[in-house]
Amino acid sequence: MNNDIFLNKKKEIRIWIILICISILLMFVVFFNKDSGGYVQVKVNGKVYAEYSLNRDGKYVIDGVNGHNTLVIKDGYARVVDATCPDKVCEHMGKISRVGQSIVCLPNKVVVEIIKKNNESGNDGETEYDGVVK
Amino acid sequence: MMEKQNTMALSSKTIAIRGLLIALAMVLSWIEARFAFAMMVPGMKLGLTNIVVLVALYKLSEKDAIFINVVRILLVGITFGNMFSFMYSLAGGVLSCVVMIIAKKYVKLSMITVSVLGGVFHNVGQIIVAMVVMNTVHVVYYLAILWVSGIVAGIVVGVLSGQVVKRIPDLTI
Repeated sequence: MNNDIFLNKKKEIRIWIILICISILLMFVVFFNKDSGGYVQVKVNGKVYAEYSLNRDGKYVIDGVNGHNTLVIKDGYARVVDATCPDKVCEHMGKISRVGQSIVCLPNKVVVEIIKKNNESGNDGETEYDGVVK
Repeated sequence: MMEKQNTMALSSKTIAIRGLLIALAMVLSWIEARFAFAMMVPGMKLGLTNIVVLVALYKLSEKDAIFINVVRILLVGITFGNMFSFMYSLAGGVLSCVVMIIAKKYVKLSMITVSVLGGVFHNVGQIIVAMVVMNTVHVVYYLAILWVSGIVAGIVVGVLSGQVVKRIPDLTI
């Protein structure tokens, strides 16, 4: 029944500062990646399944490992509206638009991710090069 | 004397207490799964089960805490979960349990800090599994929000467990 909160004040404070610093750092990482990427990359089971432009509205059905997910692109946002998986977590993940944001459907092993891509279409060599460098 | 007894055979009291705590942890897991839809990000949760683990950690032993947690994850995985959820909770549960034991035993932190570290590392463990399973590094972006939610949930759970530990009698045999 002694004062539990101040068990070891110095260490506690140090750990709290580290925890808060890391959370601020992570927040910065997310918010500095604010630029809209323009491309939605769909991966199934780790392999690239398809890429769609964020600027073109559309509805696509993705065949996942155990079922399918319906991806909708509208007004520069991508979201999953329908999934055959039981938990429907991906449907509740909302819409994404910034580079690095993603929607993940675990049962179907589907990852929908916003990526940055050079706008020149037909410049395949360069995008491939980028892929290698990354 | 005590040590010898423990290694020889489990006393009925130990079995009863462990069973009770496992059952309690399972019920809390179930309650939490019911409310998972209300969370904005998958994996974000309060971690009510961690109350049981913390109580075991403070009232029984490190071994009991890890035992109760692993058995709970196994049982919940068999009853309500699937292979994926099982893998995620196992990684999160074991990592958070190990971190909490280190924080309590070797760094000697207070209960709230132990609970917060447990909450944060539970999410870290899950993100690591997600990175391996999905073969993508970008899940790491979820870590930002899950890190903060882990801290908040850890504070709530830490305060609750502190009250529980203060109120229940000694559980050791």
